[in-house]
Amino acid sequence: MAFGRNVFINCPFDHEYKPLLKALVFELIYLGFKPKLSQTISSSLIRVNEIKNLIRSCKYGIHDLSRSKVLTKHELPRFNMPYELGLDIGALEFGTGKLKTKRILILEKEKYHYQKVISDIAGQDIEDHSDDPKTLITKVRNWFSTNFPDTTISGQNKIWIAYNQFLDDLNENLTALQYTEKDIDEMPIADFVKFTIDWVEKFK
Amino acid sequence: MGKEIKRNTDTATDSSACSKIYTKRLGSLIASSARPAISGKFHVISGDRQNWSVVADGQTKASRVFATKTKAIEFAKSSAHKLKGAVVVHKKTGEIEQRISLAD
Repeated sequence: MAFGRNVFINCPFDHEYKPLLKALVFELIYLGFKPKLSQTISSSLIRVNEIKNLIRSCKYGIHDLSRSKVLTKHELPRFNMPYELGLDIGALEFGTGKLKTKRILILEKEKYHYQKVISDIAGQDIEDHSDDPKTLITKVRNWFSTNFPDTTISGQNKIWIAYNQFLDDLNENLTALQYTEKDIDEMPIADFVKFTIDWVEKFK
Repeated sequence: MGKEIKRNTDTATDSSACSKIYTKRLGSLIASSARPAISGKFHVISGDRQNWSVVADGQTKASRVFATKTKAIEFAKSSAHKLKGAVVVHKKTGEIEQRISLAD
């Protein structure tokens, strides 16, 4: 798919973040974009090269820094997301040609949290989602609307309603085929992407 | 979709790991539910400003909006009852909280 429709998603892939990730993936597909995720990459050397390739192939980058902090007493903050954000901003700043047209959105849980931990990103497009999938859909939708001033982007309510119905159709059909809640909940995100593409094509 | 679709047992046997589920046939099956010709199903979905919406299956606009989830479920049930359908109550995350059949 063309550079102009590819979206690099830099976010956590853990269980707690999944409701946000699934909503984001659905929204991007619903709006006609192609989400590009690095989840399946394992080896550290290959992983960083693969991430560079993803960044090079995507006009849009959505970076969620909401988990780049300790959530429990014995946890360490995660630095992969800020690192990959730096790579993406670097591609925009120092790249040439189409890389100069890149657009980057940074998401966080609480407004202005970034100022405490990574104040150098001030001036970028930064939005907060309060860990709420509907808020995330709204913020991302509005960001795309700003980036496509001459195009009417579907409203957030429409996307949200479609997303809820998709989750129902996915769950109901897979449950009827004896898949468990755990199977459905833990399916690879690549599978979730494919189910979404098929469903959205029929729905729209 | 002539043939019966079954669970993909070749790839979904290891429940401890992320198991592959998707097949093209399964994708088509789920997609076929996207725009039902006739549906007595109503969704209760979180809306703006703490409101709750009732949406008929396959639609993108709410038929009614309520200040409480309880009132939205009541309305959805009465709508589904007339059609001997079902109500799907969603969590604030969009996931399924409850399915209520009104077929009887």
